[in-house]
Amino acid sequence: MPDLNTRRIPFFGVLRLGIAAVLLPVALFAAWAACPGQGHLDQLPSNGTSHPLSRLSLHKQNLETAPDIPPWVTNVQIVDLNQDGRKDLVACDARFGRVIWYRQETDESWHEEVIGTDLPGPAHATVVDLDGDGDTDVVVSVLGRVSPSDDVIGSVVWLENVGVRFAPHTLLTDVRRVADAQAGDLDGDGDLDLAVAVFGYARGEILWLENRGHERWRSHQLFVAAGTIHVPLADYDGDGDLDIAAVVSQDDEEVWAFENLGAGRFEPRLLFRSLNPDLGSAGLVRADLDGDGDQDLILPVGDNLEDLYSYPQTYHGCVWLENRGHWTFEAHRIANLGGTYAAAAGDLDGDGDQDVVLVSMFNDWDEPGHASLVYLENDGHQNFTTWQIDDQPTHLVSVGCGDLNGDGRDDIVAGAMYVAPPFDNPVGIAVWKSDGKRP
Amino acid sequence: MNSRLRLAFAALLVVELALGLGAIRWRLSVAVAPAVNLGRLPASTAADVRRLQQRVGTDRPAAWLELGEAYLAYGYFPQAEACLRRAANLTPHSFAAVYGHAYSLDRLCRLPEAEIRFRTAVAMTNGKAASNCWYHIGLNHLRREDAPQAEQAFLRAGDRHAPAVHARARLLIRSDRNDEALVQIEALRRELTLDIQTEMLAVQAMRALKNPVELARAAERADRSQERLRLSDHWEYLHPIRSRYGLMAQYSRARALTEQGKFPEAAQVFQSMLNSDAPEYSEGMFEQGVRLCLRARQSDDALDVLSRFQKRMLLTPSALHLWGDALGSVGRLDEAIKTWEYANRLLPDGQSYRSLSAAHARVGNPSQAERDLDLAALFQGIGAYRDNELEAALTELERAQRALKDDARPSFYLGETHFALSQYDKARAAYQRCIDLDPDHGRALERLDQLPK
Repeated sequence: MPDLNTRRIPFFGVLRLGIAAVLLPVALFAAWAACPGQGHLDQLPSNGTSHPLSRLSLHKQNLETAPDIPPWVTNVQIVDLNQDGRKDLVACDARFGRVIWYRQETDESWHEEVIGTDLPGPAHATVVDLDGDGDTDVVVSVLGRVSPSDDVIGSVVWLENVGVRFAPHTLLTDVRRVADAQAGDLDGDGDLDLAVAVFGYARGEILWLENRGHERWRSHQLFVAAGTIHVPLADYDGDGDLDIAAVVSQDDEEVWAFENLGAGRFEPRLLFRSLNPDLGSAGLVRADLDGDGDQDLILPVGDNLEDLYSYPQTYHGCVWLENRGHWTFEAHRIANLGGTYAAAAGDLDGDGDQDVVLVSMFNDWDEPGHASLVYLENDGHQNFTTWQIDDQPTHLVSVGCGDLNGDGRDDIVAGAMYVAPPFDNPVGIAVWKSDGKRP
Repeated sequence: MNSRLRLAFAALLVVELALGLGAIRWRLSVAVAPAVNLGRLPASTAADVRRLQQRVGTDRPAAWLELGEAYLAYGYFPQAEACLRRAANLTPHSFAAVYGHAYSLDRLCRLPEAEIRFRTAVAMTNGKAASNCWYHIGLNHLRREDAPQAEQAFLRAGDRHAPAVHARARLLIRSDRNDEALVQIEALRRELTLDIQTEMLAVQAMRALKNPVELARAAERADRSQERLRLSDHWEYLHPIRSRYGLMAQYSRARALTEQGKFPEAAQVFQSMLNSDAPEYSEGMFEQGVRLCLRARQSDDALDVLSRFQKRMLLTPSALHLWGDALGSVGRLDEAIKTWEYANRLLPDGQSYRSLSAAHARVGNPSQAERDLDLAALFQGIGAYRDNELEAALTELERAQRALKDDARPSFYLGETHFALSQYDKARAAYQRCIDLDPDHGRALERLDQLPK
């Protein structure tokens, strides 16, 4: 007679095995589903640029911190607007269509005064005594709209200093977006004329406005091209009259000069051209960088706003166009900085030569530590070493140099424009003041 | 029997265990989505991208492709490249994956690597997509300042790829082969109707050929061109991707409803967008929201949107014109008049002057209403000229010229319109009248020099 136990055990053993065979897949599936992936994909490094920290002894001051609405400061510069011997700041606020004067008080605090309103998208303020009455006026280049537009919405507005206020006069209208206007006696008749960069968008032009006296201005077209950003004036060929330089961006990426032939005649000359349609010319600054007595040009490159999400490219940075005479300008690449948007020249380390400051609008802000402000130390022989001054604020589009605190050393001011994220901790204007110590 | 069954179950268990452990091991080895800073996206978009990140756990190529494209569209380029590389490795014959991978390398400035991937993509397709790849290869060489290779690539893009023809013509001008460039420019003129980019290229060619009269004609044509050839496919490629997610998905829905004429529904979607995401992201859209509310005859909603965005409203004439329209539509005429007048000081607008005229008539100021109508004719005439509606421009500008006797502007734009119509004697007369009224009118003086004798 078979043992019941011995018969049961195999039966239950089989049953248990059967149950296990059913439950095991369930458990394994649950475990499988609960397991997060642990693998990772190889990833290319960020194109964001950072540099060794500068040894300059600078103290940063933010003029406006964490405003409710991210600011759009398109232009800021160090000037003595009221001619009291202390340098002030003049800034264009494209968000609210204003020009603001930050007057520096004796205790180095700032008094804010709005000197121009109803200026849609002011791109640049040129501080100059336009009417020759002994005080400083402001000429404002007005885009009409900051975002890309080909509409005829630009203007040039003169804010005349009438003592207690600045009175607006429109000098030019019925043009596309205006990015810059620079004053100088272009026809040699003793008064100040204007060179005007009509940036536009797909269409644009370069003009000069002849001052005919009694607030009459006659426009002359010099060049038809979209995307002129700046028109710095100087006697580039050393023949005693003012010439016009211009950076033409958009698709062409060229630097042109208009040689003054006298009597209001100009001859265009191509100084620099890149085939790279993506180079991103962002401005043009004149400076005698090598101290040889003629005016060179500094070309910051890194504006790639064609797409919503701009990204640092390896060719972003700064080009020095060395004036070799006879309208020959030799290009030297002197810095790498992702998203470079503006440059200024000044003696930051007090060694008697001109250094260069660059700001970045679109470095890779997703990773902390990427530079927003750098300076290029000139060793006196035009060998430039890039030093990182700061990584905040981000989105910097304008920079200026000048001695704010009278210590004999140039200080820095920069303005930010937050047209794209991240919008964290926005700061419109920041200054970095030297304490006079040698690095 | 039992022992056989036991053996079978035991074997089954071993197999299940082996398979299960294998599956878990595989699962553990599967790559997770590369991390990105989603904090810089609108909240609704970030939520959608987060869902895409979770889907790649299955290692399906479609999931990697979708995440890679989203990363690409929102500027996370190193992460996009990794995802799209994975998608392309899993499905080497997928054009979308290979093209996306090439595109991400291009945006990362990995130019030789991007070229290799674009060449792989070319081999997988034909027609417009292949031409587009060759165009990218050409641009890629331009970014390396390599003109001969760029020109070869643009040639391979074919004569029907307008951006490549344009790029080739530009290279020809730069290498002083202007006659060849003019052939390409004429081909573009036949293909595209009064295109800005083509006419600006013609300006360059005429400058190089030192032909100021033809330069002026090309510049004048550019001035009234409406079409603009897109020289970059950033928008064409990336916008449809962005339109799948979050804020931009809602925006696309509103656009689609607008195109169907469903203005109230579209306005509702806009209202919801403007309410739900942070204003830093949606402020660029508020003017469209207001415009839709006005088209849907929801004036109170339009005013509500305007007042909510008032503090951060950009000082743009277009926003101010809209504000005037909204105030006028609810009968707040005095405020509307002030707003339109302010907007017209910043940027004169024909339609705005028409609205002003009607408002002035309603508040009992007929002389001002008449003056507004004259100014409306002037600015609508200028607008019609710029829109290349030359007959309409003549009608409006002639009326403005009769009414605004001391104003040089109607005469100048009448001159421009006759110039565009090749009616040079009439143009000369109009420019001369303009100069009689304003002796410092530089553009009229220059045009007189440019007119064929």
